[in-house]
Amino acid sequence: METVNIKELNERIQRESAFVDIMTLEMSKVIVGQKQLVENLLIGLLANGHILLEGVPGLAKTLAIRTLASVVDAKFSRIQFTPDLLPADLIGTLIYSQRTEEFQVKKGPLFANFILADEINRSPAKVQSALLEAMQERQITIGEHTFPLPEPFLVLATQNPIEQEGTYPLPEAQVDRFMLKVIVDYPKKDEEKLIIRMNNSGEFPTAATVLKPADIRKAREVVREVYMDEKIEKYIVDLVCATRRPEEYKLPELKSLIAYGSSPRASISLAIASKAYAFIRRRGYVIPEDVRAVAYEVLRHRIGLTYEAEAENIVSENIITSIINAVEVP
Amino acid sequence: MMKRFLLQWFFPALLIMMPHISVARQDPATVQGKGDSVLGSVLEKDSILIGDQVWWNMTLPPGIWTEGIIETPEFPSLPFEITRGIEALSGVRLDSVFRKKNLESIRARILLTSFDSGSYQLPPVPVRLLRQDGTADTLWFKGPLLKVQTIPVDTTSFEPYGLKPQMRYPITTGEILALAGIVALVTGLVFLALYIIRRRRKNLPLFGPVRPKDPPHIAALKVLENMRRQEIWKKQKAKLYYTLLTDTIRVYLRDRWGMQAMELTSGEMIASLEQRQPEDPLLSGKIIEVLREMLSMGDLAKFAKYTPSESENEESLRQAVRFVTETARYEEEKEE
Repeated sequence: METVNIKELNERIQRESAFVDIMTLEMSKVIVGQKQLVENLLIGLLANGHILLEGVPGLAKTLAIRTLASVVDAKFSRIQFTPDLLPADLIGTLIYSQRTEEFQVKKGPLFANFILADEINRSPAKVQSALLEAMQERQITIGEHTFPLPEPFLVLATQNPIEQEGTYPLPEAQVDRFMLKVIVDYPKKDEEKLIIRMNNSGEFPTAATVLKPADIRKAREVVREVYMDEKIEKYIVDLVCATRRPEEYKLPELKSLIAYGSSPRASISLAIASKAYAFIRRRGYVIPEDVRAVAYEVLRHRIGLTYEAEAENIVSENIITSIINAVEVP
Repeated sequence: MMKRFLLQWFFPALLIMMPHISVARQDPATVQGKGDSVLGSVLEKDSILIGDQVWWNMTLPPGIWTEGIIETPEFPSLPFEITRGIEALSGVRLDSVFRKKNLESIRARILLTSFDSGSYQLPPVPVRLLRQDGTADTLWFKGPLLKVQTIPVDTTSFEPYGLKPQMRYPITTGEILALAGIVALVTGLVFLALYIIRRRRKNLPLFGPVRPKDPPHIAALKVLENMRRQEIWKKQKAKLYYTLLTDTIRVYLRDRWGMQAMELTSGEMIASLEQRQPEDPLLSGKIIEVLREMLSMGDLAKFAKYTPSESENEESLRQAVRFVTETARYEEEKEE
């Protein structure tokens, strides 16, 4: 039986994850509060998964990702999704050069490390598909040329939970491609006071660049090495299966509330996000706490609710809470 | 010799030939008579109730049938109103009356009935006698008096009766026993259901004597003692050992504080105990720290493929026992 030297593994994790604290510190200079948002950005970055942010305007979503890009020394693009946006506006196009008498590739804003797709549901399906295809394939084809996207490549799409009129809601199959769905909440009173003071003084601190893209790639490799016991794997599978067949987990009352459960992609995402969370916590192995810490962000957009649930004002978070409280922890 | 001839040949032939004779009777050429005779006839009953039937018997005197052929009248259709109010239900039937094997007389009979009350004088009935010498004679049977009575109805004192109630079928012993059996069965089932519900609510076994449930700390200590005796950690089964150890503590926490500990992580269990700390003086910071250490070691063994040393295994067991013993003291005092 292969044994893991836990001390050695933990020491390695301590070494490799040293940047986490520095990164968090730099980001906290610019972003007041929103610790959960910053933590989830880190999880997405380390787990190589895209993030869907949902929150009302003005909650520092754009600032957070811009700061992340500046901390990592990476290229950042912000795309404001509008109804008249075209796929070529994202991926780029071929332009005829009169000087060379040839078509030249004009790369679009997707060729960046960090993409902020602002209000993704304001654009029609063809534009959404172009972005989501790039997210999945991590490469873009323009004309006859295929270009790999730079590493790290992280898309943060935002959605406004209000003003749904004139929007194009993302289909379930495309929402599933986001590893995490993070709900951005209002800052606390003290945090908001600090935000006012910072704005009144007119002095906006800037985050220093402390990380290179290569460091992120290296950290991702370490994250994959974080040990996950089969008991944790079973726990993850139980959680995901409980969204599909709740009656098997003594939750028959959820059966009528769930239209469809989470896909195997949810299990994969839950596993890798748990590893990333364990890495952030400086641990070389995953414990049930890690799974539970990321369960809401991984599962909330992967559970379809029935009309009955909507009529009773039940949201997917209620379902996840019930499941977490019912599935036995190893 | 003559009598024998009549019995064997003539009289049967007469009966067979009656219809033909009646036709012949209408032939005026053959109707020749010396003079008509009037004979008596009797009714079996001279008085009948409406709708009753009575035979009208006409007996030919002895010796007369030896003179020739007897011809009786025929009614066109039956029933035939023989006189107003009296109906004949049969034609004239000839019958022979024997006494000691000797033909005594020949009798003609008509079956009568009436549907009107009153006294009726029956009409005379003719019977023709065709003699062998070719002459004919008519014998008249005088009609007797028939009284038809009706049922007297006293309209003055008549009282109408109401409808009779439905006759009650007598209940048999078998039916009573079956009913009693069903009632007893239903009662038994109801009592059984109530018994089961009561036992379930009290969390008692359905049958057999009630064994008092061990208090949480006793139950936990029993399991821990069993683990100590078996020395599972020495069998290279660290993961199983720590799973049993942490599960024992979880069950103890559940039974001791009503925590949903089976669905809580190690951190959540510690956080929950810390929340209860102000209310429970037995939950000191020190003892919670002991449990935290034990659970952390358990997490390492269960989830990190960590193989603890023998001393660490024994220490974890000691920590579990210490936690249970120190937090259970309050319960023991309360029981005393």
